[in-house]
Amino acid sequence: MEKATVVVIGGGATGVGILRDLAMRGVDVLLLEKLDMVNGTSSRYHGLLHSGARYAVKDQEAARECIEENSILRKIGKSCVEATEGLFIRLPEDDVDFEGKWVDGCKKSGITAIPITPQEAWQLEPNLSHQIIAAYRVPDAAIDGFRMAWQNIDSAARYGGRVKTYTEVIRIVSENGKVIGLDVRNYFTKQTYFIACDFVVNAAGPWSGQIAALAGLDVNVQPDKGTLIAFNQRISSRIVNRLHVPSDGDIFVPHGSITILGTTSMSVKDPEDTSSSFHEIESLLQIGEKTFENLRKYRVLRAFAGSRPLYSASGGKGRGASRGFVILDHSEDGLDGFMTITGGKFTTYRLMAEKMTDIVCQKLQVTTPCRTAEEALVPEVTEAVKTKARKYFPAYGTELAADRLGADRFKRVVERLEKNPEERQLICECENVTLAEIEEVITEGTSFTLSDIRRKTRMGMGTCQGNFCSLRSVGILSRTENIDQKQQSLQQLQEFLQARWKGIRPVLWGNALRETEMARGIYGVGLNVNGGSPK
Amino acid sequence: MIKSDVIVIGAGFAGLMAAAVSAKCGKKVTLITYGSGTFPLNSGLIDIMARPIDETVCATPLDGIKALPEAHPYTKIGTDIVEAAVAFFMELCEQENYPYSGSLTKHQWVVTALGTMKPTCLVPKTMLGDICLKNKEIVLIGFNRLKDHYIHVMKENLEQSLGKEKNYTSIMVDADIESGRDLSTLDIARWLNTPQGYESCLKQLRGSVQANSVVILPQVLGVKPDYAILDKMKKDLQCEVLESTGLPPAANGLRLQSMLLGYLKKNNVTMVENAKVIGSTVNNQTCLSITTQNAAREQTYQADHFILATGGFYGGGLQMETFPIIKEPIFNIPVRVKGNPEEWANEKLFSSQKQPFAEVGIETDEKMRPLDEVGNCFIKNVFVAGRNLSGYDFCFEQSGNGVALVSAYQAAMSF
Repeated sequence: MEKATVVVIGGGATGVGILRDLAMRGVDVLLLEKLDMVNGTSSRYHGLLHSGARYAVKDQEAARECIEENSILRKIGKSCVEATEGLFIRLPEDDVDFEGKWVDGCKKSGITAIPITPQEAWQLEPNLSHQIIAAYRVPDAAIDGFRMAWQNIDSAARYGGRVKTYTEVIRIVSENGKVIGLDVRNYFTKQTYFIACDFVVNAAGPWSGQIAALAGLDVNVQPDKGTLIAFNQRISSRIVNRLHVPSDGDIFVPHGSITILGTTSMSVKDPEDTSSSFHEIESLLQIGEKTFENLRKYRVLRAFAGSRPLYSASGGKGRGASRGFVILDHSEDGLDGFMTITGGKFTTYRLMAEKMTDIVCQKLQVTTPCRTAEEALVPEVTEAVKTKARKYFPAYGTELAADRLGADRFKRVVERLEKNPEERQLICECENVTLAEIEEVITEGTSFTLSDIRRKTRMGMGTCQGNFCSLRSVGILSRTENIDQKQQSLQQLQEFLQARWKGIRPVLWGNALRETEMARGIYGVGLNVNGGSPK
Repeated sequence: MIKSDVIVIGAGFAGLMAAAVSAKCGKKVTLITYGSGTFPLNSGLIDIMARPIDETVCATPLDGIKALPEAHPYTKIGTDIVEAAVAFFMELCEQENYPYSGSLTKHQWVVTALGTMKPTCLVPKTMLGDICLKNKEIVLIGFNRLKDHYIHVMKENLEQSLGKEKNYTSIMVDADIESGRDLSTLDIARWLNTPQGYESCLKQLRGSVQANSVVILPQVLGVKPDYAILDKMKKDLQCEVLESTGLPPAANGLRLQSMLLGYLKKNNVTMVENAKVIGSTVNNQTCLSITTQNAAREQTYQADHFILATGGFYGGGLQMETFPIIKEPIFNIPVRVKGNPEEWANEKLFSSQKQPFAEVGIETDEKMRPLDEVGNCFIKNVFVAGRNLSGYDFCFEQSGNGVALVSAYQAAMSF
């Protein structure tokens, strides 16, 4: 029988944070995720490492947590953070009184906000609207949600922390008011089995209400959908926020070669609802073009959406509900060994994990202190390995791959490239992903679908949105022998192309439309991906 | 000032066919080119019609055409012209010693790089996949270092599309090509074009391939529009030899392009390359001239008639910078999006219905002259051919090159 002392449910930022923290304190811990890691909220947001300035007026406690965690994550997750800094800009329609309150709030929360003149702002960011009245520089940064989560898992693994993906919890099993384990179901085989444990932490984000319900408990988490747009260029070098009461479409975050504009806020029944409509995109663009007047000249790559977990004891909704986090000990509801952590935001995931882990450790009488704020997530890639890698990677690909893979994996990939020239093939030209990297990721045993490979390597996420690499990667995945539950290759390909389409459909104009015609030409006309037979 | 009888704008399949038909009619033709259409993208197959209404593949291409709605280009043009256009194309290929096979009364099935089978109509002799149905021994050939071709995926899916009862053998060939970059099918096609390359390949296949098998390769049987390598390999291996479709660049598309360009040269078509048409002078609903941006300067060209074969959204013949404004950049022919934005595209990329966005394009009369918003003739001496036309979904119907061929033929024969 499978066993763990603690089972964490949910493969988002909070879950992996708890996994790492418990593992580092020597606790036997297993994380269960019903699909692939980081497929939910933690990858479906704008990727902003808050300075806290956005919360400086409404919630100074949250603001203070943000600025503290901001400086910790820069330190422990160097390769996940792009230290862009951020601007807050006020436009004529933004309330002038708010500016005063905001400056005051930043000061009280310990956030450095440096006032600059509109001219200085335009010098820093030439695309900014010329309507700006006031501007401030703050220590915002961009953060890669996928990478941060993966590095937490890698770090946890070094301390024995385990992960099982595509494993859905279907029942919390208890005896005499105490959790003894869970029934789970494999996504591919539908096979169900029991995992014994002493303690369950529900960290399922917007799904945490559904998980609590499996134990007959009522946790009021309202999924709140936010839609975002990814542009294919960097519109600014810094993050740009509107200086007003936080609202829709007022944040631009540059990441690598793209920019993300977000977000909307809409209560939804089902956290699985990650659809975005033409209408939502149009309204985001209309607000966004106040910040960058030439916004519509930039190519939109795709739209995406995720659900925030908004917890309310009293039923508050949308931006009115708290963005703070809560920990619920369900022993108060009569079930020992079951706790829920929900709410919160990506920037403070480590702190949330620390608080949760403190409580679990106290119950387990583990006294090892938390070290997640001091120890780097992954060791740094050495110059020696980078030098070797430069022989095989395109000029700018080395740093990208080193950051993306982390020291251990990068070293293994470079060894593959050295030994086997065939693995030097560029499978995804847009994102510079080599065959070696895809093969390496596949051998880790947590990749079952093309999307799983995509999330780990960025394959298919670039300019062509998978037009060329989809066939190649299905070829590679389906020749790998040691994957359980491998799906049929046509199904793999259809699902992958459909997942890419989901984000393109609401932005179907300009170059996205051109790429779509090409995708249909290649996969519909040339390859007849829907299948066909003369019989 | 240069003056022609006809100016054809665009060098995709529709443009080259329109120029070919016009030249054949004895007209003085100038072809203005900027790109090369979808030749590198498609496998040189002339799809005509496989799915006119829903997912069901129609009995024959001709039956499919007869089942189409009124707004479809084929319906407007009529089946007689469809037949004449096909006959023209088949004759041209014959004349150029690169004959195609097929007819409107039977689907031809080709093998795709996924191992699915695809219904099409007119097919180069390297792709006649129907042979697979009759033969029990199927041999799949892959090439080491070629990242665009995966024979194990083909095998997996051929077992579904052709049946498990056949014997599938896989052979990997080493192409001894020195290259600092990844190999493409074109690299291997060029390699097979050399005597050393061909011998090396043959040596690796001989012994492993039984006589009378069907040997399926990626598109590597040379780069020229002839069947020399195909015929030689068939003879040397005593087998049927086939190419599958594949990722771009598609050698078969380039062979078709090369054949057509050769034909145009022989027929004295003037070709202006790398010239982007940036505008037109229209007076009293009649186009007098067009202006191009050539490498160094602007140039004006006059003609009595103009054929607009600039492609759809992919080719740039239609542009949509912001939704829902569509621009036809040369003549400003009005093109409109109908219905509400949420219905612009289906929820599924490959679904059981045509994509609304794919059917948007220029409306024309039966002579291919563009219409204005209320259905009147917009310009009298401009004729439209190919992907910029409205009323069809090239992908769902599997009709792209067919509509290009037929509309080009009709456009060229309308004056």
